[in-house]
Amino acid sequence: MTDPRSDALVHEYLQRLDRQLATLPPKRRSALREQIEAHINDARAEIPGDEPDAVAKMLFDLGDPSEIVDEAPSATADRRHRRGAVWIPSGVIVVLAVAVLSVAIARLGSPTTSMPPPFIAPSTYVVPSMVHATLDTAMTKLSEHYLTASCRPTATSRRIARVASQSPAGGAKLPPGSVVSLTVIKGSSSHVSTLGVPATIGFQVSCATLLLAGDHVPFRVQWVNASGFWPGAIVAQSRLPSGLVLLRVTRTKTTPMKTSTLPPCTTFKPWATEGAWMLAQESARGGGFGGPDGGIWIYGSIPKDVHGNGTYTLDFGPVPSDFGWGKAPGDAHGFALQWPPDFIAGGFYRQSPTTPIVVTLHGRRYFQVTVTMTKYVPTCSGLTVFVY
Amino acid sequence: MRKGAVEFCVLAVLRLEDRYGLELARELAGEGGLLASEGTLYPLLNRLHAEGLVETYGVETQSGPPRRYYRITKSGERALDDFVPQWKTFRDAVDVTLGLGRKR
Repeated sequence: MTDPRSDALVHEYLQRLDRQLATLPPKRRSALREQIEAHINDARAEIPGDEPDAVAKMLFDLGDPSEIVDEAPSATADRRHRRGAVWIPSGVIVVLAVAVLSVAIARLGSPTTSMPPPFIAPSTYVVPSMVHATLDTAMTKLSEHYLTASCRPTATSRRIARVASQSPAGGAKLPPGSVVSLTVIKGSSSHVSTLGVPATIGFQVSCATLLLAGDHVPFRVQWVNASGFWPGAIVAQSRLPSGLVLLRVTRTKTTPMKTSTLPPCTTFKPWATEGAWMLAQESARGGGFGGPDGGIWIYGSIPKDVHGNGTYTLDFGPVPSDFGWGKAPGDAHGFALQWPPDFIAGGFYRQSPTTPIVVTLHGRRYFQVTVTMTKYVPTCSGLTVFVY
Repeated sequence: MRKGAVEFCVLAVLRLEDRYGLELARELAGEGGLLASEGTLYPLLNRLHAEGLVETYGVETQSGPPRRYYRITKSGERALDDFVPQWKTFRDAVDVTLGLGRKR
């Protein structure tokens, strides 16, 4: 019998792992995913009562997903190094010894704390091949690669919206946040989605509306001015009790909302500003996305400056009064935290209580999570995390 | 340096007994921190597997899917045998250079 709070911890960990694994080839990705999942299952089976704090400790010992995945790409280099001669040829031993000595001497003069591994954000992502994929799948693939899309429909009577062509083609390399153009075959009137309401946040309105129309989901677009986000991108989505889906779409790029002397916690500008924008919108509206939690929802935490290792309280909201999830403190749900993809911190602990608690701030409802970060935490401004 | 040596530590542990991932990770993580974290064992195991130095097999468990065990291959044993004398030479050279050992 598993504890739902532990389930949530593992769920979040595996989601972070999946994001990191996206940079690996499929075969290596699936092998590593399977091994880590088996490790977690074996370790959880040994934890009495599946106690959440013990599960958090187990995940900490397992290591940050970025640390694990960082080990994988070096395989080629290691093989090249070792091919033909196992370990190191004897002739270079003395040279190596001198090198080791140099490192040792250098370390004597520096602080003894271990240095964090350098993180190099990928400057490009490989465009996945999406031709013949459903639009839903294509958008999911793109978001996994931190890319977005604009869509152009063609009139056909195919049952489900599918990608007919894309530009650039699969295999091209683009910086994160780049736009891939998709030509999409429209869905037919007989098609009824079995997927529920697809998530469209981060995508161009042209794709989002095609996707929803193809699935016959009623929707309405609200155009808003937003800071720092891609023009024409979906920044919030919610479903009303009537089933109508509201999409908030950015109209213009304006001046960034916040300046700080600290370096930003993420170089993904849309990411960093999305949380701030969402919160500003929420506050201006009096809270909420205009509906309960029947649909897809996402809340950003109030942007927070981070000063290295420590314990941080993240407040998500304000949450509308009719939002049903997590009304009582201690409610456990399979929620997940979405961290900026280039915010590297190791040793995440979600402190007790291990699920978000409901708190009241300025008379409004928020979800609050306390997180301890114990390794590699930078000093930076405007950390925003999403709960969904 | 650790990365190159840990692979042979894995082979040495597997020469004693076949292990599954969690067992192996805990043993190595407990040995003076041979692993940066337990999860980093798996990319390493995959490299050894790709090089034919270890192989895997499944063992049925009472609950859940079969558990994957790792076993050293003949090639792995040969690689380990080659490594041991080289490691001793290397270790002695470093000790001497650092003033921790005697010249021969």
